[in-house]
Amino acid sequence: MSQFFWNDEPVRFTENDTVATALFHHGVSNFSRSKDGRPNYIFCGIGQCQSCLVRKESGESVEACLSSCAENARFYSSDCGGPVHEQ
Amino acid sequence: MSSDSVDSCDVLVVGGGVAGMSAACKLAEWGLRVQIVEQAPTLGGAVLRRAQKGQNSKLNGVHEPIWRDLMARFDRVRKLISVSICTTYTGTDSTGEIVITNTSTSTSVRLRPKAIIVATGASERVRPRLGWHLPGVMTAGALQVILKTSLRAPKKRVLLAGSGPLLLAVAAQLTRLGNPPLAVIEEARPFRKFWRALSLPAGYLLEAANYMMILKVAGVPILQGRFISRIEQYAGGLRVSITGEDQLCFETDFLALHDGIAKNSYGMRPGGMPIWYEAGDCALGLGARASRAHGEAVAIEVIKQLRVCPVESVEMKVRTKVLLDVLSREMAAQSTLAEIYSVDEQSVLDELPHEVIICRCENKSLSDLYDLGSDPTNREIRLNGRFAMGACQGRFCAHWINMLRKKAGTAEGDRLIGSHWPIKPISIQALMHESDHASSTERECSD
Repeated sequence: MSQFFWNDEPVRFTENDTVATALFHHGVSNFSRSKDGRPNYIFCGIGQCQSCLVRKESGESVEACLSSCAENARFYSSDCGGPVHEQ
Repeated sequence: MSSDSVDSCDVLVVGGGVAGMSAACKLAEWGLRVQIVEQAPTLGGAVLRRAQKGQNSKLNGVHEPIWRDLMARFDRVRKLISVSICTTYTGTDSTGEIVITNTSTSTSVRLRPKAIIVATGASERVRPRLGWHLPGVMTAGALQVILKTSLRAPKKRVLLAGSGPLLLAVAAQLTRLGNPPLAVIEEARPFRKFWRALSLPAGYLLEAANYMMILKVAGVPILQGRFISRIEQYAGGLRVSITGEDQLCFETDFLALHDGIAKNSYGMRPGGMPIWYEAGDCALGLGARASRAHGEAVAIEVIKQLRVCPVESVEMKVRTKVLLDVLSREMAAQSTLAEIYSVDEQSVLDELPHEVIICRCENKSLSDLYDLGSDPTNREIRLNGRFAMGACQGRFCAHWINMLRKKAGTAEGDRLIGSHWPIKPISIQALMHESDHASSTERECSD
């Protein structure tokens, strides 16, 4: 079992897990924040809905369901223009 | 990655699922150099998603032989096929130049193939329901991809609802992984059409019988003719209210929804490309068996158009006939399935409460839609209403908005979603950071 970091917390993954798969099994339910402030979650699982966008350490948003886990990689929940940004 | 850059390919195949792999193998068997781009980290697509290396992809069931056959062919011609994983087709400009983007390394590559075959797979249909936007609600397809790649079921309660044979497949897969779902809530009444089902090909019947047996042994209830009326957050999970002959209520952690599959050619247009084809589920929505045949049939068309062989060989004509027979058989089977699982979606939509979220990205409700007037134009729906304007660009709401508008007698076609590129959001960094060689992409050989 290897691990990566979700909001600086270690998450275990196995080979071929996507970030979404690993976070799903880890029990994460807030991938990003939607327009009304509620948490976004995995929805389509095949890269079409953009619901599972997460932020890479470099700042870009990527779909968790299409991203492979790398040892010690860091991912963060992203705020998609939710109320936190609007303040 | 091989030393040649991706811009030296003859044909670009977008999507490494059944149709894309089938097309790529055929093209390479005729000596064409093929570049496959696959958006996910593994090949196989949604139907044959690869599990962890060294593990048997046991959940692919009846479809697994299709993959073994494709991989055997792939192995024989792999020198001519270059595979880039975590790479998306970004778009085509007016001159026919194509941009592909590696989302893992955030680099884009331009290439100019002689032909492009788009094999991006189907979309899953999920009808809006009250509370379908809550965390814990996902598509049955998404849950299936998680099960197939990790070969682990969640250790929490799962409820499956909607309509179509995929619900039974996912229910059986959950059961095989040790966590049977609470129930399968089916809107149609497929068992009442049992005699009609007997006209399906034997493969379909065996698959269904296998799922039914697994669910029967595990005691998973399959409730037919019942609809979700409300999904609420409740005690850390979800409370799902069901209507039909009776009123039921389930408390669950996950709810997986499915209302069939749809073709998916969002944002795909020929542009300046001389030779452009769509193959498999994105064009047909008929499933894996048809996708393999269609991928090969489309590849034969490309081979002919690129004049790889001077005259059409007899062998090729015979093969085309065989493939077309497969397609017409699958088309008949899918229309029988559609009949068995028929649901009057228009009347369900017409009865939706006005607070239902229609656009998940922009959080717009049915009452926001009706506030735009009795017969809004596409422009008004998009620019004033902000529908189909979010990150998914209308992939999950446009179809339903058009059905809801028909109620008001709208005349303005179905062109609520455009076909602009990039066909989905990519980072500006990835678009700007262009590399001539795809040295950063990896070659994926799968198991």
